[in-house]
Amino acid sequence: MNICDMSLTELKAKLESGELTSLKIVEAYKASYEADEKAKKPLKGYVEFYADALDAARKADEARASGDRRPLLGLPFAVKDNISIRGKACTCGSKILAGYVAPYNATVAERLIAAGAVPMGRTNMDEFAMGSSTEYSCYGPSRNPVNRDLVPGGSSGGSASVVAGAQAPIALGTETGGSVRLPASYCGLYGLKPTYGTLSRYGVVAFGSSLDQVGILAKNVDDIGLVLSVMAGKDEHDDTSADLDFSALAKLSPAEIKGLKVALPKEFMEAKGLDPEIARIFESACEWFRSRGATIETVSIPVLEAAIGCYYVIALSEAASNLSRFDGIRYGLRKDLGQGYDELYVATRSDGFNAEVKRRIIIGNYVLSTHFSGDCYKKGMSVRARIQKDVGEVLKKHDILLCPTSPTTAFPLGSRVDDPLAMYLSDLYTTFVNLARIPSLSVPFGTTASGLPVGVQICAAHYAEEKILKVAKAWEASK
Amino acid sequence: MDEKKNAIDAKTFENLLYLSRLSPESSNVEILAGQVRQIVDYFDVLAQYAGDENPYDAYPATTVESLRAGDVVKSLEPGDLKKITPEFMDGYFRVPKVLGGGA
Repeated sequence: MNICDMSLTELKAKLESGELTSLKIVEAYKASYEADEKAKKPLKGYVEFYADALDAARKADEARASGDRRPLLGLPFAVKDNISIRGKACTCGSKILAGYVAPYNATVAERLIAAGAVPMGRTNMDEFAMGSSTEYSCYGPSRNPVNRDLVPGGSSGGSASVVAGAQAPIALGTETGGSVRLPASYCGLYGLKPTYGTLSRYGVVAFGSSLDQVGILAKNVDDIGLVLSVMAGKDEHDDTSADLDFSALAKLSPAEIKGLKVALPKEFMEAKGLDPEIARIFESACEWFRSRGATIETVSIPVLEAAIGCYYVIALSEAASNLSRFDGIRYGLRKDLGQGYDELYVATRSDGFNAEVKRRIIIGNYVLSTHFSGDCYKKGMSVRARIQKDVGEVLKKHDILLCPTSPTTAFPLGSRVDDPLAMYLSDLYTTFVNLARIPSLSVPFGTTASGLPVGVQICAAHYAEEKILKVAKAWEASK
Repeated sequence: MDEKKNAIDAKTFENLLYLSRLSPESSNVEILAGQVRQIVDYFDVLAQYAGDENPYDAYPATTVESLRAGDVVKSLEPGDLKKITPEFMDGYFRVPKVLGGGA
């Protein structure tokens, strides 16, 4: 098998048996990336393939030769452009952060590197993670490896593109409202959004602080479990990180499906815009559970109809606040008109942010102003409390909640870029997970007649990542 | 307090641009204002579900984020504080030097 087609766990086994070296692995990915750059329609998943990745791989091989046995030694990973890697550019796909170099490692990256992993490059994203297609990037769009005329999803589309496009075995993304699961679904990968608190957010550029979480894109369940087991756990730099033991995730066995209680939210099945082919594949996923002895129950959670509205009220309020720090003084771009600080601040932001980010900041400031929006923010918070409560109640009575990841398959490049509301509705099935802070895994459950991947989400209660991954592993084992 | 939202007219949009520290010259304001209006109108979907839950219940959601109970505990007496460090000067605690001055 080609090195670039192997999973992370397969590469780990080959490294440990001495069949492969880290250098060979990174060289293979570099060659794959460089060859693709010359293609007529390159994927453009990476915005930078690190020049020192080969050196880091060489050092990992030397360490192995001298007896080092760290769990991820010599295994490469790609990282979204909003996760800090010391000494490397971190631009969030934005012109406003041009030239900014991260002075420290994000905790998730620090833990992977401490376990021996090799950062191989940073991946494209919608500017400040605001988008569902990776078209809103100052570097231009990424493409979907399954069909290069389609978007890879977003905002972690570059991460999905490099993993599905054989340019990395695994990649980190980030989620605020579905930005890992949506690209996973569009590109035929597994994509995990962990519980809010499982992974530290330290060193990850903030979008919506009460919603943000780092996620993982991979080719199989074991890869996600292995990487998550290394990254998860308490971090003194992030008070919201959980002091729990996640080491069991490193070795997963398939779950027993017989007797599993599965909830299907009626509102999602009846939602306008659900592609009939996705509905059919989702029904086959339900049938897979049924045929193995699971109990499937349709549940009603009416408030889910308001999830997208609630999500955008809260996320954009937090974004407007978080992005106020980009003032032309502290980071990246500075547009000094020589007229004073206020003018510098406005000129830098006006030139540095793209239209989508501006749109979101303006809406966020509208929501945050009682004078303009009345009690809009309060309503959003009230609905969020209700979503948390109602989803929590369902997950007390059921082991998992199952729903499609997206109402459609990947869409053509450029088709929604000028219609922000249509773009926002791509997140129809994903935002409630972030609002409820629960974990969810998008599993590539099937393909349409035209060969496009379709993801199905497995969601569970807070910190039930192990349960989700074991259920997905049972499905994976049955393929 | 006015609980009802205002329509986003040209003046309101100008104010929002100011709050966002964005220049009206930098974008196609008419298109942007139209898109903002469309999205803000979509938020009306919240009206039918909001109101019966305490918005503050949205935080915290998990035990990890639960803060300690609001118990009132006795603070340290000056004598206890002085036991922590012998570093005093002119009746004040000494602190490390910081850039630009300090004790």
